[in-house]
Amino acid sequence: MNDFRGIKSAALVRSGAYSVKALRFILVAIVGILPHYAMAESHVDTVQILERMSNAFKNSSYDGVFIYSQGTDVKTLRVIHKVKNGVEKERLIHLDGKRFELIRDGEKLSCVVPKTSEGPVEHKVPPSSFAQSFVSNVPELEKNYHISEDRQHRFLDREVMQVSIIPKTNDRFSYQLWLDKTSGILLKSVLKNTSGDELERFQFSSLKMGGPIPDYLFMIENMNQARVVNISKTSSEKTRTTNKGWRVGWIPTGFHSIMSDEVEVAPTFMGNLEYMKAYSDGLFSFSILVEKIENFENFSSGEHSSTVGATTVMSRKFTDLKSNYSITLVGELPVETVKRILASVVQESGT
Amino acid sequence: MSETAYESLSALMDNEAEDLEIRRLLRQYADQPELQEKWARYQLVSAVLGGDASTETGVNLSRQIAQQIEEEPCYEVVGGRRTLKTGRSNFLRPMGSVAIAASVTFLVVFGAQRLSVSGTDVIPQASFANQSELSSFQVEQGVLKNGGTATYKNGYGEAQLASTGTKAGNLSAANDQRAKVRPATVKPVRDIDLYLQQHARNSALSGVGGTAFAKTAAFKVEQ
Repeated sequence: MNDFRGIKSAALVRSGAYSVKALRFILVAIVGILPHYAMAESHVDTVQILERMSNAFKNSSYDGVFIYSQGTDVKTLRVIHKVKNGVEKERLIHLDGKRFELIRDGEKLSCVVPKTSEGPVEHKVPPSSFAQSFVSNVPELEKNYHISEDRQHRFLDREVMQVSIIPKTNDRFSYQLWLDKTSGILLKSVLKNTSGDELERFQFSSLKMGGPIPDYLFMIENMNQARVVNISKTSSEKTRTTNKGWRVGWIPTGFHSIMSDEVEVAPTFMGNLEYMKAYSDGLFSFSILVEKIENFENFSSGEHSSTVGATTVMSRKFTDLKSNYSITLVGELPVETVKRILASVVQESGT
Repeated sequence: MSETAYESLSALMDNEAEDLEIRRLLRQYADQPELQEKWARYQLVSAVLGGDASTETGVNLSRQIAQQIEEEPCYEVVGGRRTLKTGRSNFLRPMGSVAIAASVTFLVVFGAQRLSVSGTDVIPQASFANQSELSSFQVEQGVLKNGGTATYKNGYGEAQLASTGTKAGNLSAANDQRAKVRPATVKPVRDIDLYLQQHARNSALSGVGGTAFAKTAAFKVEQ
């Protein structure tokens, strides 16, 4: 009897073990197979969503107020954008601090500052319009980031899709985007560091879309208190840098040079700039500038880094037999990555 | 091997074995491979817990893994019905390899994490640590306002400063033997806004949208 009971319980244990194993296999199957189907579908979607977003800012008409925060610094701006007869019109108004507006009408660009202000403003004008696409090259982005649609919910009284752009390596930042489901326009974005802390945030607080945008919204108010400066595209001088004599030994995976030999250099750098190179991975970018410096006596050494939101500026000195140089990296990268790149910049032998 | 021997071994590891026990254990050790293996495993566990294990443990997992696979019962489709079979089967081999891959990944990841502590490739961990250092510094020291720009002098302690300098030096040397200069960082020689502006222009040239867009909004506008 005892023997029988023993055999029976052994059989029960065995069958129990089998069912646990069976369950495990089923779980593995569900966990292993389902995401592939889900990913295949969401992959197509997210690529389309991002490409749609790229076009939405440029081709839509909208009038909205948004905040842009970098660390503790928060700015409020209003943007008005429309496309009339194929011509893009855009007005970007800084709502905090001193008056500063940018009005683009096709190729024409005007800058509005207080009448009492003096001096040039060209260097304060951003190189690109607000409507410039958020992501220029989605396929390239996919090589370096996992792009996934997280969930759909409500933001600014609209149905939105939340998209995460998470780097495949731990040497750069990540983005979360909230996109209007109907238009594809970006309503909110948060840039996070490798620990998940927020560094930068863009967020509309009001947005009017779809309806007609009247022309008078592009007219400058209080003209008698304003100074309007027309910015011509050719006003800034272009210099040719040779980009020789220096080599960047290490760059993070997926970054590639985005700069030809002919680059636009701010007048401040002219004369001293020995080398300049910029790199991008499709989302973030960084620039390296090598300047010849008379001496370092005026520059305090030690560990220095300056950050503005996600952008870090860090310099390193370099001395050869003849001269002193300052090697500066500026870009949207974690400090540790910046240090590593900076450390790898070397003078080419034979110079 | 007897339970007594295991108990003696356990007591020995805890420094609680009697003299007689130790002598008996040493006698048995020579001709009992099972005991030898167990002792080695106890030593390894003790070393790992104590945090002084080297990465070369000499542990050969292949035999155990092979044995586990051999013994693992597999599903097999027979006449449209799934039956369990203890022998080899082709049906669930892919699943099996997923499971094995997962355990190998675990080993590799675990090993890699430990390796990176002493290696020069400190980026992932250092970056994590660095970010929290930065944010805590900002909170503690406040932010020196420079128009629309948050600027601060990085306040690493002397010890940290020295260690990061060395690490950077190592990296540099690892990447290029010609990099003789240890990268002592200096305060940027110009107003950092000039660098930011130049970088914005560089990014815009290529049509890199993400951050050029951000810079558009955040460009310093104070007169």
